[in-house]
Amino acid sequence: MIEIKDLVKTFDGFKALDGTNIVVPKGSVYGLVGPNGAGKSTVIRHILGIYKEDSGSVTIDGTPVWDNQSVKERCASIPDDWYYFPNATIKEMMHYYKGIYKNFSEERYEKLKEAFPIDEKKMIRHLSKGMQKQVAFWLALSTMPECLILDEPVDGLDPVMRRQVWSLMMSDVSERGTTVLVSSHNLRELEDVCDHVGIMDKGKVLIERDLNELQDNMVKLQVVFGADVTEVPKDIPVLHVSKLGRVFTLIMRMNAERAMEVLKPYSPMLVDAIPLTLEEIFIYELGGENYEVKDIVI
Amino acid sequence: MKSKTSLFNKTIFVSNIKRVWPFWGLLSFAAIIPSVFIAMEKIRGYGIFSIDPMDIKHMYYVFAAYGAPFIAFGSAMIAAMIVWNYLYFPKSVGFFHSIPISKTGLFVTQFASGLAIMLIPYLIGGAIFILTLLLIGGGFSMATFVCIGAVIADSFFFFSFATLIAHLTGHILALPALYLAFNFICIALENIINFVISNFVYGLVYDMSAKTGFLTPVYKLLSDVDVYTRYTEWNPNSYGGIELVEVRLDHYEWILIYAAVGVVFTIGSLMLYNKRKSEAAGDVISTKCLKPVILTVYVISVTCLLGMLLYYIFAEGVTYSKINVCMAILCFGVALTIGYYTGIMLLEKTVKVFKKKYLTGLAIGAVLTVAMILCVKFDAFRVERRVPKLGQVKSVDVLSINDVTLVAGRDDDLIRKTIDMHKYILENKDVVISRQKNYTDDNVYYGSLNLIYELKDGSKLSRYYPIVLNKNMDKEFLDKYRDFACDQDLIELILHGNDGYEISDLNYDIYWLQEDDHSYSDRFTPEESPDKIKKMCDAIRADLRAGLWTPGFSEEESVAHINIEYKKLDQKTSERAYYSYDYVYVEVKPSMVNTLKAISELKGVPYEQTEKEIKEYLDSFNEGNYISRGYDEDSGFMVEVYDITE
Repeated sequence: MIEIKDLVKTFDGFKALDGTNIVVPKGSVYGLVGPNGAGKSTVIRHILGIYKEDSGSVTIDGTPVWDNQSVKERCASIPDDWYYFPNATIKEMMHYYKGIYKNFSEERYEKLKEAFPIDEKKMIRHLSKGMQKQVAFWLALSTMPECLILDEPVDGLDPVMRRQVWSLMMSDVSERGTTVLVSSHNLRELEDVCDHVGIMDKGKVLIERDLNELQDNMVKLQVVFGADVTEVPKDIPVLHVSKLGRVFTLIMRMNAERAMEVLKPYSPMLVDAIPLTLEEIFIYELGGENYEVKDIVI
Repeated sequence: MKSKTSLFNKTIFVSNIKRVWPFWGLLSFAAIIPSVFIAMEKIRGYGIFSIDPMDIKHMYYVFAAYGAPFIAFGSAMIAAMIVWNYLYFPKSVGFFHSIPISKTGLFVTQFASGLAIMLIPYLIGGAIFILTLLLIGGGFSMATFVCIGAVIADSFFFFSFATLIAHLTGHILALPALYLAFNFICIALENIINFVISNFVYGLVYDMSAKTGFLTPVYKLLSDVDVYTRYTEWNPNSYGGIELVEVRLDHYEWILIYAAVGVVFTIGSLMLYNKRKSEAAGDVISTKCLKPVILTVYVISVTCLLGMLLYYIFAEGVTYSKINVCMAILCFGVALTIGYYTGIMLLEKTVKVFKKKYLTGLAIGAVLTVAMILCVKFDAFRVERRVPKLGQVKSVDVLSINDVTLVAGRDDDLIRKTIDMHKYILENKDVVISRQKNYTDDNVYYGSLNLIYELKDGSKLSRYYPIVLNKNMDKEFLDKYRDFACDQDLIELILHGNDGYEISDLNYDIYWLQEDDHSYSDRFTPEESPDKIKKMCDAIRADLRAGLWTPGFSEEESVAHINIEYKKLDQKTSERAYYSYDYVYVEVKPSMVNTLKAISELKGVPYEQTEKEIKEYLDSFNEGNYISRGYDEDSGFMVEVYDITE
């Protein structure tokens, strides 16, 4: 549904996006992850029509986003720093949204009051950051979007509210087929909700895949070799190796069955496949891009 | 409130108006005050406010000519800051550009909001004012609608101008600064450059000019659009004594012209808005191609002003029209460097500007500055040496110090004489300038000549030369100057009241008679004392013919002065007569016996008594035997030396 092709964007000579390609299928929950400065927020601003691309295309359902009122009517966003009028109450912002979004549902707004128990007569600037985020969700979901773009959406929310918010979004996805694109550093949470993942770095999407496929494409094995094997043989393709006693932990870019076949000639005494978390996939995929955790001793 | 069109959003519009109600509310309150005042006056029965239709018409036109542009100029800037400030912060621009409204629709909505914010106080205040007038017996007239039209046109123009500025910048504080700068930059730059050049080019004098006034809208509207009024003669039966019989708004076409320009500005702003990048929020200038233009204007202004200041402090002085090239290069070079780098600091919002990439611009500026200085030094454009040819000149006016007319006319002889004098001054420029610097001799003669040529092509050429001459050293120059500067024929015409000249006032101060620490003074007008004016003028003419009075200067001490104001009819139409006004200033010397006799007769004292009083006055003035007069370098003052020993 959301398609970004060869997107390039430069700011004062600095190439923030360098041929970015993203496809977010309709009705999916797409997690856009990457290190700081990868270009995630820049991509999101293009999808929302805030930035105009230098080259490439950004479309939703085949229609370019830039200066397109009908496309924007179907999208809602929750940026990491949500904007509201300085002296507006929640109710006043609601009326504002209602006058702008054609599909705004006052009925939904009233229903969501139960999920977001905040007095709507309060001024938004008097609320805490977490409560302001809740109001952002409240209003965004009330616009009945077909497409929801989230940048660090649950940042500032307490654990209960986080769960509440994810639950609301998931029910929207399942009931209304809402397409969600979420950018976050909280990979543990993303893992629970996303079905597609794109990993970005230096303005490019390095990997974009169905999460299951991604997890299938990488395996973590705990291996015990025979007593004569003290190091991992060099011809075994590994992304990462660690050793604790005689137990080697290998990260390999292949599925579990293939990994077993590769190790068979070395007659390991023990091989145990453990599923990788999204966080581990993120770390080890980017490890090949010179992005790795450095052991810094202070 | 869901919008059905994409060119305007009612929700955003209403929200904009509601959010800033204190601003337009306060203005509306101020707009209501005149109505309240009028109503209270009526209730109290004072009747100060006139409901005569002509007076009401006058009031509307005065507001249209002077009130509307002034108010619009200020309120447009504030309205623009209110409606366009979302462009200057990443958070707000991200919000507004992500909501479902087209860029054009958002622009139109915001523009309409800003205009509405400006016009609501007029709507409220104006409606109440008209209602109040109707209630107290005043009525409607075309002038009401003219005033409304002027208010709308001025508001539209200034707001569109402010909107254009708003789209050139990305910083909220830069908006008012650029708005004020762009409103006055042309006239300011014109005067700055004139000021600098006039200090170095012999003959040029700085005079506040406004050739680019039409590029300064508030100046043009306030100075050109005016209210013509015609009153009857004194009528004791009418309100105020005189009756207004005609009133109209002149040069209102300028309001329409600027309104049309406002349309162009609006379209330009929309184009800029559609091209604008959201990431420009926070930049001082959001339109990159304008940065060099703004930097150039800023650098020129700073270089001229600061350079002049430094030159004045460190060089030998700028009033003598001889440029010290090395000092000028140094002073203006320093000013250029300061202007250039501070300009970049302001545009880039950083103090780290001393980088190689900016050196090219500085080098270009330095080369141009040196080139300009050398052009001035060697008069490359022949400005200093420009003397018109006889066939190019339509008429001349020559004024002395204090703007007194010395010679004026169109005949070829007079023009030739003026051109000869002009050339003579230029040929002896070094002599005159050297005298200006050094008042060391007594009996120094000083005056000035302001030569104004009206050329046949419609242009004017004006040159001003302070003339300082020493009677012992510059006899030839002195005689030539005295012969040229004293147009006895002209003064005869004026004093005799011939050839269209009419004396309008005559006043004099007698120094030898003191009353309450002031010189005795008197004044005559043609209506009250025509005979006294004639007496005085005849006496001065007699002294002029006898050579006892030389207009312009003399060695003797003055004992009185007479100021004769006159007017001359320039043009007459069926509606108006146009006069030019000037005056003859007579420094009365002890040798002007005819004039002193006339003064005595008017005072009713014998001439012998006057002579005695004058002698006592002059004796008390001189404490001893006068020796010399000169410039004391230590104190910096002119001093007179007397021998007070017995």
